[in-house]
Amino acid sequence: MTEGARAGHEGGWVCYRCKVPLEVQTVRLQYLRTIFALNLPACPRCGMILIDEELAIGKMAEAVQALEDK
Amino acid sequence: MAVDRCLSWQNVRNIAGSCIRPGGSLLTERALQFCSLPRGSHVADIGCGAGGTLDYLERSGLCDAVGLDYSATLLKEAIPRFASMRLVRGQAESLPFKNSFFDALFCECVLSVLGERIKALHECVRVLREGGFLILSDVFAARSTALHRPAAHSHLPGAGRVLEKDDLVGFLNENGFSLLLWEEHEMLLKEFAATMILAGVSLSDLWNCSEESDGTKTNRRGLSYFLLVARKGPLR
Repeated sequence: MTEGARAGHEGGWVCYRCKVPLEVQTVRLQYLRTIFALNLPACPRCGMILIDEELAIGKMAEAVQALEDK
Repeated sequence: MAVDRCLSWQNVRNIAGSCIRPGGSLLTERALQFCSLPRGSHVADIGCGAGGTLDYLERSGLCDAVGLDYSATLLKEAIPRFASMRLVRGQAESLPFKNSFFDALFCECVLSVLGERIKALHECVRVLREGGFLILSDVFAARSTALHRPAAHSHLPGAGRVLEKDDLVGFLNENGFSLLLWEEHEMLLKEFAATMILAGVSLSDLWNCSEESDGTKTNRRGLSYFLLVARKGPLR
């Protein structure tokens, strides 16, 4: 994450490569065969998506657990 | 007392669309394949929510559909989209419809949140004509999730207890229905749960272990989702 984006002024994120602020976009994430549409910060130029730690170890981990429950 | 069980609607709608249930309109479409409904059939969607199934039925153009829901919030969302259809605010346990009127009834992901399931099913029986189709889908206990079940229990107990196939099919048999289809869609339930989690909606009542006041314990593992189509009357 730190290589892809850095926190800019006023707490916003900036794409490290493109040097442009990230914008919230509807992005599609796939896990196994399931596709989810989520609103996440993304670089409008290169398309890099920012998934912060809270989302990754929070809701995403919980969602993965729900999919894998036997 | 009935409760307006509307979740944080805007958030859910953005993520899940207008069909707030596992499979969305996929299972509606699947069920219709087992119902021989001529054009102009009278169809009701009990617990229509914001109208996901009504959308599908209207696009199909084959029926005169009515939607009923208790949530004023969801009906308000549905009303602008259904000029040609009737939307009614009411409870599944007390349907404001004539006896033997409908050719088909949809009740999708509704029974499990009702307090008086038996009453609601008897209402479905009442308003469905002989030869009409009942389409149910819901969460159920695919494996024995009841770690302890009291000996004396009634069929289809109230909200909070997971539905069981034997209870449901038993009720339908006792009331003169023929089972046309029973399918289990566990993956659709998992995908729905994951979608809701990502939308920030808590499904803890459904997915966490719980213990009923009468001592019955349920475990989220072993839950699945069924699609059922039954015909009122004998098989033809």
